Amino acid sequence: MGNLSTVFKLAYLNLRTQMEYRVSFFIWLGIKLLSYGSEYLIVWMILDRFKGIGTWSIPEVIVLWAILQLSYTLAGPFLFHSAGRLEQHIVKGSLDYFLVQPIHPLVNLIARNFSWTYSSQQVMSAVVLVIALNASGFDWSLARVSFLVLTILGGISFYAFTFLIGASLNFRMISGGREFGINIRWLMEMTQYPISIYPKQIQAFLTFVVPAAMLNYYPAVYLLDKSAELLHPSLPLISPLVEIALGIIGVRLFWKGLDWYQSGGG
Amino acid sequence: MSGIVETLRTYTAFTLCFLKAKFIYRASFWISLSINFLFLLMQVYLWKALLGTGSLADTTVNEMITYVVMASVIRNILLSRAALTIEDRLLSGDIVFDFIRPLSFRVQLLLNDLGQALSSFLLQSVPLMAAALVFVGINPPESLIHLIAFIFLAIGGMIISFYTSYIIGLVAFYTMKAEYLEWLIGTINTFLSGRYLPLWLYPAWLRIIAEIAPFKLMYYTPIAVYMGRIPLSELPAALLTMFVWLFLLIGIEFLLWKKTTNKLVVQGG
Repeated sequence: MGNLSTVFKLAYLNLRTQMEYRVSFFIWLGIKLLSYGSEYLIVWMILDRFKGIGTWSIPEVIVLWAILQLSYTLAGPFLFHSAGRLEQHIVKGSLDYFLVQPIHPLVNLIARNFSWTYSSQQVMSAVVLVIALNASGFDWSLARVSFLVLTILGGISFYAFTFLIGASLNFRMISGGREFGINIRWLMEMTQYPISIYPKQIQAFLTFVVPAAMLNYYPAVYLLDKSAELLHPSLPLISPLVEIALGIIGVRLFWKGLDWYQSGGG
Repeated sequence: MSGIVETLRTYTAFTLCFLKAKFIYRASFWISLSINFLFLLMQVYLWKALLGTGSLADTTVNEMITYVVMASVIRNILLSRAALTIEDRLLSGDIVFDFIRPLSFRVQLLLNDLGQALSSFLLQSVPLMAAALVFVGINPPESLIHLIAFIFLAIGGMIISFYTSYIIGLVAFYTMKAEYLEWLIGTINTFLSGRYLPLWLYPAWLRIIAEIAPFKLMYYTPIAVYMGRIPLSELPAALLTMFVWLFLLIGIEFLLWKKTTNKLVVQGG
C-alpha cells in the first residue's frame, strides 16, 4: 500500500509540473476536446440520412464508439507515455534508473509519466456514452449498469494490453514495439460500426485474432438487447472477462520482458 | 543545362535512397499496407451496408466505393510534415543548419515532403489501388480529360497541403509550438475536406462552409472531377479556385516568412 501512496504523490507532482504551463495545458484540453468530438460528429454526419445501419440506430452506433473512446481515454493517461517512452529508456540505458529504485519499475514508469491531458476527453466520452445510452432506451437496472462497468474495465484492460505488448516487444526488439501497439489500436477502430456489416471472415478476425469486437460490439449486443447473429451465443457475456484476462497477460508479458532486458548503457 | 541535369541526378539519387530505406523495414511496410487496406474495406462495407442496392442523392454504392478508394489513395500523397519538422528543429536549435545551407529552407522542406509522398505513393497508393481494383472494383474516370484534370488537381491539392502545414510551422516561430495549431487545423480539415464523405452529401449549412474553405481542394474537388460530378463546364472554375488559393497561401507565406526570420531566436547550441 505504501507503493500506492508514492504513486499518487508522483502523479500529483506530475500534475503540478504540467500546470506550470497553465495556458498551454488548457489549450491542449480544448483542442483534444474538439478533435475527438469531431469524430462523433462525422459518424453522425455519415449516418444521419440513413437513420442508422441495418438494425442499429444512430445512438446505438454512437454507444459502440463511445465505449471504445472511453476505454482508450481511461487507459491512455497511465500507459500512453510510460509505454511509449520505454524505447527511449532502453536505448539510452536510463531504464536502469527505474530498476534500482524500491518501487516496481512498471508502477514507477506509470506514475512518472502519468498524463492529465486526457481529462477533457474522458468527461466528453462519458457524457456522450450516457446520452447515447439514454437515447437507445438503455435499461438502467443494477445488472446492466454493473455489466456496463465491467465492459469499460474490460476495455481499459484491452487497451492496456495493446500498450504493454508493444512495450514488452521493445525489450526483445529494442524498437518497433510502439508501432505494433499503435497498429493494433488502429485496427480496433474498425469496430466503431457494428461488425455485422462485415463478411464473416473479418468478423472472426475481429473476434479471435484482434478481439476488438469483444470490447464494444458483443457487450453492446447484451446491453442494448440487440438480436444479433452471433458466432456463439455466450460471446456477449464472456467478452469483458476475456478482455480483462488479456490485460493481466499484458502485465505478465511486461514482467517477462524485464527478464529479457539487458542494459545497454552505463 | 548540365547544371540542371546534375541537380536532377542528385535529387533522384536522394529519392532512390529514401525509397530503399523505406523498403528495408519490410515488416512495417506490409503492416501499414494491410492496415490501410483494412481501413478501406471498413469504409467499403459501411457503404455497402448503408446503400445496399439503392442510392442516396443520386449516389450509388459503386460511386461511394470509388470515392472512398480515391480518398485513401490521395491521403497517402498529402504533405503535412513541415509543421512538426519546423517545431522539432526550432526546439532543438538545429534550425541554424537549415538556414546556412545553400538551398532555401522552404525548398528543403518541400523536397523532404515530396520524397515522403513519392515513397507513400509507390509503396502505399499504387498497391492499395491495385488491391482495390482486384477485390473491390471502382468506376473508371468519366473521360480522359477528367482523368488528366484529376491528376492536375491532386498535385495542386498536394502543394496546398504543403503550404498549409508550412504556414503552421512558421507560426511556431512565434509560439515555439506548432502541435496545437496542427491538431486544430487537422480537425477542421477532416470536416471540410470531404475526406470521408463527398460534399454533396453534407448537411446544407456545413456544405456552404466547406465550399468556401480551401480544404475541399485536397480531397473533394479532385475526386469529384474524376467521377464526373464536377462537369467539364465547371472545370475552369475549379481550377481557378485552386490557383487563387495557391497564390493566397504563397502570399501569406511570403509575408510571414519576412517577419519570422527577423524574429528567430535560437536557444542553446
